[in-house]
Amino acid sequence: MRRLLKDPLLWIFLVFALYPAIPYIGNFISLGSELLLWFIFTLSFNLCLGQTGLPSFGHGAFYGLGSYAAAITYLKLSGEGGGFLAPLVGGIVVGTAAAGLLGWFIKDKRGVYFAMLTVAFTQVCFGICWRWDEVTGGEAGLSGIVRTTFLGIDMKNLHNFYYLCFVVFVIAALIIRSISRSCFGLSLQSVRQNHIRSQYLGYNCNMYKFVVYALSGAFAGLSGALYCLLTQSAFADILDWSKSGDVVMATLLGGGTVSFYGPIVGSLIFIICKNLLSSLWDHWLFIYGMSFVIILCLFPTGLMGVFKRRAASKA
Amino acid sequence: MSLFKITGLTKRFGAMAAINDVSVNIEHGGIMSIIGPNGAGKTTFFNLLTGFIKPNAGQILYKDQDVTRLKPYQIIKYGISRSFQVVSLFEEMTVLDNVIVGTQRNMGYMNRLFARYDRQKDVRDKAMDILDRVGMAHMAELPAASIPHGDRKILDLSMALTTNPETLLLDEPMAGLSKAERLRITNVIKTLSQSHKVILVEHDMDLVFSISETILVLHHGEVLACGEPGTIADNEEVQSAYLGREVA
Ligand SMILES: Nc1ncnc2c1ncn2[C@@H]1O[C@H](COP(=O)(O)OP(=O)(O)OP(=O)(O)O)[C@@H](O)[C@H]1O
Ligand SMILES: [Mg+2]
Repeated sequence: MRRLLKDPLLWIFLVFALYPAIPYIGNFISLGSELLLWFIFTLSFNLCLGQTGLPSFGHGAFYGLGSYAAAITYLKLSGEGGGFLAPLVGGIVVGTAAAGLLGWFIKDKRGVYFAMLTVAFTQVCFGICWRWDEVTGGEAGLSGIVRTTFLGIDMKNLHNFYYLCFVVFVIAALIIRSISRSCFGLSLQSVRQNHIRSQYLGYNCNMYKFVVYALSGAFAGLSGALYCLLTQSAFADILDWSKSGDVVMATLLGGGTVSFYGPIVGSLIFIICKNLLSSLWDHWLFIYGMSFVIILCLFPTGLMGVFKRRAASKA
Repeated sequence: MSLFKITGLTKRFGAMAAINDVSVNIEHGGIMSIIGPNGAGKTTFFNLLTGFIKPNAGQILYKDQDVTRLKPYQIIKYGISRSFQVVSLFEEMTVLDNVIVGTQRNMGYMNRLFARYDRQKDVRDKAMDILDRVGMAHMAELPAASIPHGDRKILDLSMALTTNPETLLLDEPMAGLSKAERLRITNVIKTLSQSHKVILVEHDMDLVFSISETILVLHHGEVLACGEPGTIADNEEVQSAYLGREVA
């Protein structure tokens, strides 16, 4: 029980369970949903970056493709009668497949080469989605997706949809955290910290890179699909490489390289800045960018890094 | 059956052959040492034997099985393991976790998605057992980056033990250590040599000549001599290769 109470995830769950009741911010219920699915997205991204050391700087591809997959599943296959889950499953399948495919071809690449290939991949996906009118709606994107009823709950209601996102987030966060602490997670850590030694202990490092990449793509695709349902549309601009950069920035800012919770902290800051600062001032990105540079120069391990060091020096 | 049967092994870096047409049979009894001046190709030789780099030509048989083109993670399944001249650890882990990475792989736990790695009692026990054997159990919970150099060398060595090897390739396990620490590692190696086949790269001639059954001398990537310590010490070519260096 003690240990449970000390678990940061429990408190995060608690805060977001009560989110709609929080004064002021709680009114922005879509913002809350977006936060939750960004948590899923950045946590899955951090399985690659923080856990395995894969600089996947084009991770937005799987998020974007997941959102398209959900839209297309809904529009072409399932429709309003096809149930609520079909688009989500579509997003997971496509996210996994795309990441698996890319991962298979770049699993032996490292560092900058790996990073650039993932960026190139996301640009290719962007190009295709931007142009392929028949399937992706081209520049106009896809719209007309309706959130249908799920288990008798009306998902058109944004509060209900928020709680669906919350449940998915809870499950995803628990899964990702137990993976990161598992035997498999330690194997991934060994690949990140010293891939040569890891090989000499019997690990086929490239295979681990491939598997974790596909796994991460599954969660990214899932969060993309939720985003599609939230906005009831799919657009190519989330596939733009700069959007992938947002994920990297948020994760580093929060301290994903040293802490499991880093991506959550970073997403919180990024999404709130994006939605609140931007309505106050057009050049909010300037402030956000500057603070990013300053914080990472002063604290290379991000905000959780500072927090961890504090805790360590107290102990 | 030789332990290693190596024929025509060649590795070039650009124009320079770090290992040049080496053919040698390594028959094993006791500790075998590989000596040679700096840059002779000793580490490159280990890198080739363990599949870390691919040779330009030649063949490596380990107990009559061709292991020439295998990768390190495949080689270890044949019972070959190595330590590193420059310690190669997981710097952000504790001493114990460094060893657990190896033991969990060896015991087949490495792909468990939802089992906490630090709660696997048998993996942990095995890891503690290995640390115990090298006298490092009391340091288990310390961060690997924080322990003294001598202990890091031993940790590097104990990680090589986690794969349950039959043959241990030790690349200068005592480089940069004090007298007392060298003695400690020498004892560890002597103990290990009772249960493992040890191939040792070492610069300390007194030590090499006192503990080795066989000595292989590498020079400019070629085998200068191979034999018992007595015959190596008398070998004139060896003496001239070591000009300015004491031999035995
Ligand atoms: N990856 C590499 N690329 C280019 N040259 C290399 C590489 N690895 C080794 N060499 C060269 O090959 C030669 C043999 O190096 P090696 O490390 O095998 O020597 P060594 O006998 O282990 O020396 P030492 O006693 O200093 O450890 C050296 O001249 C070295 O510079
Ligand atoms: Mg060397």
